[in-house]
Amino acid sequence: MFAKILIANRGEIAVRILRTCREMGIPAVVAFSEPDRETQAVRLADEAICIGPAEARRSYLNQPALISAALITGCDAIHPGYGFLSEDASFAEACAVHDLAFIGPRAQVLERFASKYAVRRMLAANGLPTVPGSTGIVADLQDALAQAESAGYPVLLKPSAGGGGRGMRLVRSPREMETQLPLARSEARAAFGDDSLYFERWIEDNRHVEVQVLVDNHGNGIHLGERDCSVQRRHQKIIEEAPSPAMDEPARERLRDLAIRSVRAAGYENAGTLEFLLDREGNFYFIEINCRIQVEHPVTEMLTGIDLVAEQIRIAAGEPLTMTQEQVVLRGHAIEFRITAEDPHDNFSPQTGVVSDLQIPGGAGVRVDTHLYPGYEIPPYYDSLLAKLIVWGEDRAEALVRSRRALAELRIDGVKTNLPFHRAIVDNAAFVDAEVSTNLLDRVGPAAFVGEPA
Amino acid sequence: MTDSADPAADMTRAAAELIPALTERLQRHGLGEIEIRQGDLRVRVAAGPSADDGPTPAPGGGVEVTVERSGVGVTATTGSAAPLDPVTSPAVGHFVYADGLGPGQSVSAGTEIGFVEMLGIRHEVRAPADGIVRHLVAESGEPVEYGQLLVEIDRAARD
Repeated sequence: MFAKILIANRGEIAVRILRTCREMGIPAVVAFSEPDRETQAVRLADEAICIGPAEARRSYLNQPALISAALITGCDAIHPGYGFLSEDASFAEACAVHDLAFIGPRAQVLERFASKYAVRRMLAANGLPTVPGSTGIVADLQDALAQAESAGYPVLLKPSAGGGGRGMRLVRSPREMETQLPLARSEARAAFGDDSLYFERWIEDNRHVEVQVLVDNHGNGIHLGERDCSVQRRHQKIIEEAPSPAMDEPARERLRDLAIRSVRAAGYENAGTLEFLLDREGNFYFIEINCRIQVEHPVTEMLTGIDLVAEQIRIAAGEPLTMTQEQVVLRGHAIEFRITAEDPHDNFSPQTGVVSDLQIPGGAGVRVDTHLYPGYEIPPYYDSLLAKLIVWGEDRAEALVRSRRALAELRIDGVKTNLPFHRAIVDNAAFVDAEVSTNLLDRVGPAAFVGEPA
Repeated sequence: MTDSADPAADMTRAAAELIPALTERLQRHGLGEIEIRQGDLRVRVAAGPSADDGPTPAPGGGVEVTVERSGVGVTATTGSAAPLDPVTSPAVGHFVYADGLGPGQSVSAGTEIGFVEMLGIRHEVRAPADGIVRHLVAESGEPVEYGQLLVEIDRAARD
């Protein structure tokens, strides 16, 4: 096992990883940027080290600074969290060069799973259904127009190097393709340094369902069930739950089984998530794989009792999985609400401010992962996630009742948050009846789900 | 007034013997203030206002020294009167001083103070302004984080 782990991330996930390190008896060092000196992870850490200024490129994305920080503090492993360098094969490779374990898939595995388009083809070859779309990276406008014509509009343009829903554009006609293609290209180049695009036919009223997998380096691989992340705004997930309320148990079993078999066959390792679109008829199509711990992983932890970060660490240390597929029991229903510093009454514009007071809900079946504390100043430099409220119940009905109770208890003063949106949507018939599709909020406008400001 | 009541003589003795010893004890034990009395001479050294408002005098934060004899008092503050220019680490790695750099040395803006070696690459550390080197805060060869205080330069001393 590792002697010491550098946590190369911030916010709630840095706190989350730190907690598991503590429980495993592994000392941890929190790497932080200058404005994050007063953040919760730094306060709780055994040791912390400043790696650069606010700008992520010079701190949380600064590979030499992070590796040097790990080396001078005596770490032998780096946990990258999510976002930032979590799926960066060059960083995983740089870690290996300096004898540091990258807690995630090894560089050669990340490399192989880096191109979304290539992965789509690889997993399709291993038995996963994929959405009809371009037969490769689109060469130019003529090629895009010709291919979209045969696949059928609307299509969703996607950056091959992308992730997290960034840089995707919905194209409904050849006319839109002419304007959207160059925009999508420049966006992809700016965001990922790679302007390769492909597209998939857009499935109206789809739901987003994903399967969590764990694969060790000893030939063992298991799934931990699926999560349904259909409540989205502009391709960003807002609420996730498990099991998927839109599928029956035989369908869920088929999806989970297909996912773990194909990903093992393709040689994946460590924790990963395979994302699927689910159409009205119950067909599912593979869209992409995430080679990291995900924001919504606690939903799965609530159902299984398995610490996913601990499993990531054990796998990276070369240990075999501690459980078999038969030992994984998915019990009850869990829902996660992403609480963000966004004002739902002002088109979800990002907010900053000082948390003047904080009321964290508790009680049975309630978990809150957050880096907030009273007096904490939310910096403008990073993403807007403030807290994750995760609620468990014996079934979905109980989880919903408990969610309403916990959302009512939760109070974050001093900064505007999307809490009014969450409090409204748990009472909305579309959500209660599991009728929300991924584009619903964008189509009707999220304002429709929020009452007037108090 | 007699010779022994000369405040200037007391100040000289305090400055030479007592103040350095008291300041050292103050900083070593992280005390807020320390006071001694010898006969009717009272010497008090207190942590001056420092950047982090902590009880321990921050390097360069200065100490306030009070020397008093039978009600005749002289108060002096060192360090904090003229804020020193901090020279901080531009990288995460091991810091090494430039050859021959020492306290009291006169430097110009751009003079090399040392370098931080990060994964085999040297990141130069240069004086931000003309001045006199006051404190070598870091140890040569020490691992340093980004922004860590390495050296303090007294800009006013060269004006």
